[in-house]
Amino acid sequence: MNQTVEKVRGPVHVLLIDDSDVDNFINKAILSKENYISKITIKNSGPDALEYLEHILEEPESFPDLIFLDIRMPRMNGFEFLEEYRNFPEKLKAHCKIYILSSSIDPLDSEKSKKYTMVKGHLVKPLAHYHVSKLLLEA
Amino acid sequence: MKVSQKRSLFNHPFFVAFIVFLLVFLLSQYLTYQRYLLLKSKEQNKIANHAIEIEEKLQLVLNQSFAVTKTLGFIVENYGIPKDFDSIADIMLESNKYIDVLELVNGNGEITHVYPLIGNEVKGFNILEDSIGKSGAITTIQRKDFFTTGPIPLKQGGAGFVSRMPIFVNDTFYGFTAAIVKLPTLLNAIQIDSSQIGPFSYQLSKVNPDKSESVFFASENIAPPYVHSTAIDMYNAEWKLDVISNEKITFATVALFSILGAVLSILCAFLTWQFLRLPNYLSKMVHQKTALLKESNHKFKTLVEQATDGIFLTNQKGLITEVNSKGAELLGYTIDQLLGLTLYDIYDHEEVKDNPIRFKELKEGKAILHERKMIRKDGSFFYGEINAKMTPNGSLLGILRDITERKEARKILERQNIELQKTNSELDSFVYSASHELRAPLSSVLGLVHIMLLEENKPEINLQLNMIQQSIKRLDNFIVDIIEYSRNKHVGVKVEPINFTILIENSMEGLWYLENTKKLSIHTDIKDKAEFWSDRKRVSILLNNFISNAIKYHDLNKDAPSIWINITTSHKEAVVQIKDNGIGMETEQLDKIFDMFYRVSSDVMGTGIGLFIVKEVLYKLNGSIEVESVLGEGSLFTLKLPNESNSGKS
Repeated sequence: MNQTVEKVRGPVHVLLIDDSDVDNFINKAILSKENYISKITIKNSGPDALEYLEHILEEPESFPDLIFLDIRMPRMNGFEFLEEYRNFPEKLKAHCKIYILSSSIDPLDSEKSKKYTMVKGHLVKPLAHYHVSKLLLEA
Repeated sequence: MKVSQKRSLFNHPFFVAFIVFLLVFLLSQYLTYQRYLLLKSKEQNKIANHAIEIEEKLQLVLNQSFAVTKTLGFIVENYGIPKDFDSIADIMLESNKYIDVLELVNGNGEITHVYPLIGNEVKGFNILEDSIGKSGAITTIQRKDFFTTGPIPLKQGGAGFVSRMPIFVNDTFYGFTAAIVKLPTLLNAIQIDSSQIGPFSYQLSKVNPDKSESVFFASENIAPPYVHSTAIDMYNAEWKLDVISNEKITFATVALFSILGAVLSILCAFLTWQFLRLPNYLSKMVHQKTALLKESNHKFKTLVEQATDGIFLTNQKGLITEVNSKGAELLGYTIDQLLGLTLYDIYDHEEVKDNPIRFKELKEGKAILHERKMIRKDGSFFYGEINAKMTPNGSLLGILRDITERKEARKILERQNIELQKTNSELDSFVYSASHELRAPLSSVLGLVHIMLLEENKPEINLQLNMIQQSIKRLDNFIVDIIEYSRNKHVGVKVEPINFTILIENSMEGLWYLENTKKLSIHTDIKDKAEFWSDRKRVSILLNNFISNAIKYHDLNKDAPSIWINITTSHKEAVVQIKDNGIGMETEQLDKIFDMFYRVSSDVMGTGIGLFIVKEVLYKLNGSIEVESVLGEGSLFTLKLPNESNSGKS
């Protein structure tokens, strides 16, 4: 399975956007078990993440392949982040899969995230219950 | 008083009709009587005339008898008894057709000569010795003159009249000459016939010395008593002839006339009654209708006066012409004060500027229901609802109701509604916060435990870590249940197509944490030919609960926990059957499993809220549930969920 992911995607770059340091720690620990993941970037807020992405705009190969986005964050929540992210070039976005990773089981949140076409799915924490390789292979 | 009574009596149609009847009846009957008398006298005249005719004929017969006996007597007196009696008699009979027989009788009363002899074998018969013939003969002798006796039974047979003329020679009685007229001959002579049906009937009778009468001849069909008759008495004879009229019609004619008169009087009386009755009837009707009108007028007035609404009538410019007491009371005026004011005096001036009175629409016949701020006499105001329209006679009718209370109640209701919406949205955000802020640390701990489980390999620590994980999951589940319950309570049903296969898969994924999830073998049979519409979130809550229960309450003595899910959809509903081979339940427990915080077994991790939420969700979806369970064998839940495809698509 893991080999398949490597074949399809090559080395995977994951961006975690979450204000909770504990969760970032946990998720990083889990993701680092997957050997096809070459790089894990952690950003504590939406603005930080946007700044980072803008910074690497000129280097498409550095652009993340997978983003796990929390919803409830101070200053800028997940949906506000998505509104900004919408403006990034299509080319970059086409190679990047975004999953909402939240502790919310509120159906309103999952309904809302469906409105964003670049969001591939709504996951409920903890991440350990999902197979990251599966998420990558899904359309 | 008497006069008025009299007048009233004459006014009475029945009385007048009776008088008319009486007058007409009497008149008609009098005329009938007069006519009767006229007819009667006419009839009498007719009979009298006829009688005279017959009398003349009889006279002729008697004259012949007289002539024959006189002539024969003269011969005997002067020349003795002729030797050629037969030839003389023959000549005499020849010239006197009505005489049948001629006889000569000597002084002793013996018949000496008879012509014709044939049929009259009476020669030698002594009439003075005969009881029947004797009296006539003796009378003749005594009278010493012509006398006719009869009708009498004749010695030679039959009946007849015998006329005798005594012969005296030297004043000594010498004998008779006798002429016999037989009855048929006489009847023929006077032209009456017993079988003949004519206008008259006849009766011939002999008057006996004792004044009694014996009838010798009568026409058939004499109606006794003969109303119109006359008797012909012949002088020097002892018999009489009755002439009777057959004109019985007279009576019938008169009777008919009388009946017609009666009918006419009844008719006249009836017409009079009808004619006189009409004005009486009309005046009675007018009286009745007037009373009705008065009553309805009174009722109407009472209705208007007792109405709980103000009722106004104005002209087309808004001048108040009539108002009931409630209308005056609402506005703080007396009725008299209001009459003469206009609508502009009782409507709020500012409001009328913005929203003028719609006279034009009212005149077009529209009914207008609207609210107005009304100004009382003292300047205070209230809110009124006015129902206005034009009446058929062109004035405007307005019905005014004080709706201040209603308006205030509506305001309060609106305020409460806003508060309620606020409360609801607060609750929403509370639930949202709870789902995030309560669950976030728990999921972090779960994540940490998971990492530790991956890194540590000491079995006793792993056991403890597992226990931590289960405890946290239990708390997490409880929070999830509470949130679901709360959401089910106040979030509306959202209808969309349901894919049961995906929902079941999602449910299995969410139950990763349960010890035996991986051991569960699940058999699904989904027949969803009819697209099923319902609330996806709620249907998935139902499935989650049943599937997790099947895993939690599995029977350790059996190889593997199994669950059979059979789903059949139709346009009407989806029938979801969930069967497990778990520990099952006792019958007594079945009633309680849907209660809040009821738990079947303390061995199993649970919050006791799952099936309670199922019940609440089913209530929201208008679904139903049935449970069958056998302890030690397993349970079968049958859910029925209505298909909302119609409400969903529309």
